[in-house]
This record gives sequence, structure tokens and C-alpha cells, in this order.
Amino acid sequence: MQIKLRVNGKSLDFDVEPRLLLVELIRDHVKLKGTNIGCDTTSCGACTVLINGISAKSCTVLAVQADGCEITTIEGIGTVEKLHPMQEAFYKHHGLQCGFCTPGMIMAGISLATELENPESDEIRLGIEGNLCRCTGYNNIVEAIKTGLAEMKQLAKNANIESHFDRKEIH
Amino acid sequence: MIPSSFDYVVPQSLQEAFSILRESDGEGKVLAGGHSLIPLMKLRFARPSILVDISKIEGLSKVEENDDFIEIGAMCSHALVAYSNLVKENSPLVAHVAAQIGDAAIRHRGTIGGSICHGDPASDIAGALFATSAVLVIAGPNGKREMKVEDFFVGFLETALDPEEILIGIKLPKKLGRYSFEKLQRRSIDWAIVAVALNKVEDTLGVGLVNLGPTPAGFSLSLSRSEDTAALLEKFRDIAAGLTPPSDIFGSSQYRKVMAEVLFSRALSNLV
Repeated sequence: MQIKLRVNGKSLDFDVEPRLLLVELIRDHVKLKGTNIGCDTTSCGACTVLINGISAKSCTVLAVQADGCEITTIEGIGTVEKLHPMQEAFYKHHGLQCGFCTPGMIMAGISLATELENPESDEIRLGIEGNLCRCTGYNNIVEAIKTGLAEMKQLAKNANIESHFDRKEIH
Repeated sequence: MIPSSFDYVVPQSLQEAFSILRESDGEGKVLAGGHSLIPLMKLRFARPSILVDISKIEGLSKVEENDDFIEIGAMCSHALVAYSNLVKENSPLVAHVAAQIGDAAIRHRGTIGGSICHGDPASDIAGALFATSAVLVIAGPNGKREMKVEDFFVGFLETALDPEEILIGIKLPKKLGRYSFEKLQRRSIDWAIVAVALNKVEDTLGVGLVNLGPTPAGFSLSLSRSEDTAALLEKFRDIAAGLTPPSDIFGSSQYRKVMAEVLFSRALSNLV
């Protein structure tokens, strides 16, 4: 089946079997290996990407369902020279140890900008309840996401961009 | 895990979807957000020959207000139900429960209609629909019909939908009262071991029961002025005695019955 989607801003065409999962499309067809497969059962969040700007677990989405959508993966948000504010915050707060959950955790954190305004730590914890980390004990991750969200908000304000925050857009 | 092969179509209208379902001869399956169906297909517990993706059919992804009810489109995500002002203002229990389903990413993709049609007895939102006396709007090749939520679930993962029918909306009465939802889980994103939803409107207490039998369930109690908590608990105990909750690694059938009573009593004291 022919599908067309944008991955990290680049328009791509694919001919795929309907049973291909989005995470497999990203890893094996687009060859972006930052998005991980952990549990493969919608539990762990290692495969979290953004579909049209909001988080989704790509092990539970068919590639054909994403036809026409904008997909953002960990590779699409920053560069080594210029990290995304959320990546910068994870670096600064040491929000990782082994790093396996980190791409999903960062994408889930970025997605929270669409749902939470000035979140408390408890709200962040609930917001990332679908992303498991077996190393850190979460404290540094929560601190990092708090900082990252504040930084994203400040950047949007400086650039005079309307805040990400619009719950009505969530579908 | 890889599902077995299937065809995939994206109809643009309900009529088109009905005719595809008819041609599939019972082997087709409607796909909404896919967050119940795709995991089953990956485990190969479900092997439909064709998936009918209804996400592009217009009008199924919004909440509408009428005189005495609101209607939630079946394709509305749990996140949309949780954040919708119309739902929050007119049926706050349903918004409150939608916000506790799975996790944030699951709520972005999973839909209210998909969850109901999956018919899992552990569905939180089904419990909320029992407590609020929801009515389901079903469309088929011969037109629309409406069904009370209590008539919809006929067996384990089995609903009253005909193979060619599609659930298109959920009607919730605009009746405000007090509500609460108590859910027992071992970990935050787990399915409920047991949950109880309450919706108290005037002198009626709507009760939704999650994971306390082969299907989602519920009942309503009429409250007389003299009734105190102890009397209500007594009534609940009588009804719970007739339930047949599952036994699994999270708890025995008996444990679930006992916990249902505990949650019911907590829910009564936590009505907001």
C-alpha cells in the first residue's frame, strides 16, 4: 500500500504492507534507530514519537494509519551543536543513565507542552506514567522535563509564537 | 510481534464502510484508534482479513450539545473527552474517568468508541457510561438505532453490534450531580483490578462496575432520605454477591468482590 508521510520535516513515500508497525517503518525503512522498541506492548514508552505534534506509542500504530501525518522522532528535534531545550535539560539534570528510555522520555516530555502549563512535579510524573525507566528512579527526569518545558515556553514567548498550550487540538 | 496479514481500507463515508463490512462476510473489523485491537492482532488473538479504518469519516470526532444531552463522537480520543469543556460541564464523571485511562500517549490515540466496542470488562470508560446512563448511537446499512449501555455488552469481549454496524456516538444526559471514581491498580498504567464509578443525580445513584464480571456492568440505586451509608453498603453487598469477577494473578474473584465493596464505600465518601 502506498503511503506518504513527513518524517522530521522530510516528505517520504513508502510502499508498505498494512501490518507494518510505525516503529518498524521508522527504524527499518527510514533507518532512524533512535526510536527504540522496548516491550512492544504499549507499556514502556521507549517507542514514543510525536504524530502531528502529540505523543504516541509507535509500536501500537500501523504505518498506514500515519499516512499523511507529520512524524517527529528524537532525530528531528535538535542537533549535536544545538540541542532541543528538552535535550539540553536532560543533559543538564542528568536525566538518564543507560539511555534506552531517553528518546521516548524526551518525546513524551515535549508532548506535555501541549497539555500542561507550568506543571508541578506530580503532574509531570503522571504525564510520563507510560514511560518506564529502570535506571534513574525518575527524579532527575522529572526535574529535566520541568526545566525543558519552562525553557520551551520561554523560547516560544521570545519568538512571539503562540504557546503550544492548546488542549483543544489534542485528538 | 507482527500481526497476520490483512487488507486495509479507509472509507470516507459510513455507507462505504457498511458495504466493505458486508463484503468482508464477518471477517472485517472496524479500526478506530487501534489501542485495543492492534495489541490483540500483534498477539494474533485477532486475525481480521480486512481493517476498516473509520478515522477519516466526517463527524465522528467531535462532541455536540443538544437540549438535554451531549453526544460524543465514537472517534473522539480519550484525551479529547477528558479535555472537552462540553463533557466536563455536562458529564464531569466521564471526563474525569477518561483522564485516567492508560497513559497520556494511549489517551491521544485510543478512542471512546473503540474502547466500548472492544467490550473489555476492565474498561474504565464503560463503567462511567453505566453510572451516567449513557445511550449508544449505532449506525448500520438500514439506518440508526439507539441502545442503552446496559443492553450493549452481551458476553466477554462481545457486544450487541451486528457485523455491519458501527457505533457512531455516545449520548450522555445533561444531568449534574456528584460523582467519584475509585480504581485499584498495582501500577499506574495497569488495567483496573477493580474500579467503581458513582454518579449521584437527585435521588438516584448510578453505579458502574469495572472488572467485576465477564462484561462491564452497572446498576442504579434509588436513594430515600432515610438511607445512610451503612444501608447503601448493605444493598451493594447484596448485588456484589451475585457478581462473578475473574480470578487472575492480580487477585482472586473473592478478593475483587471484597475490594469492590471497599472502593464503593470510598467512592461514596469521596463524591465531589
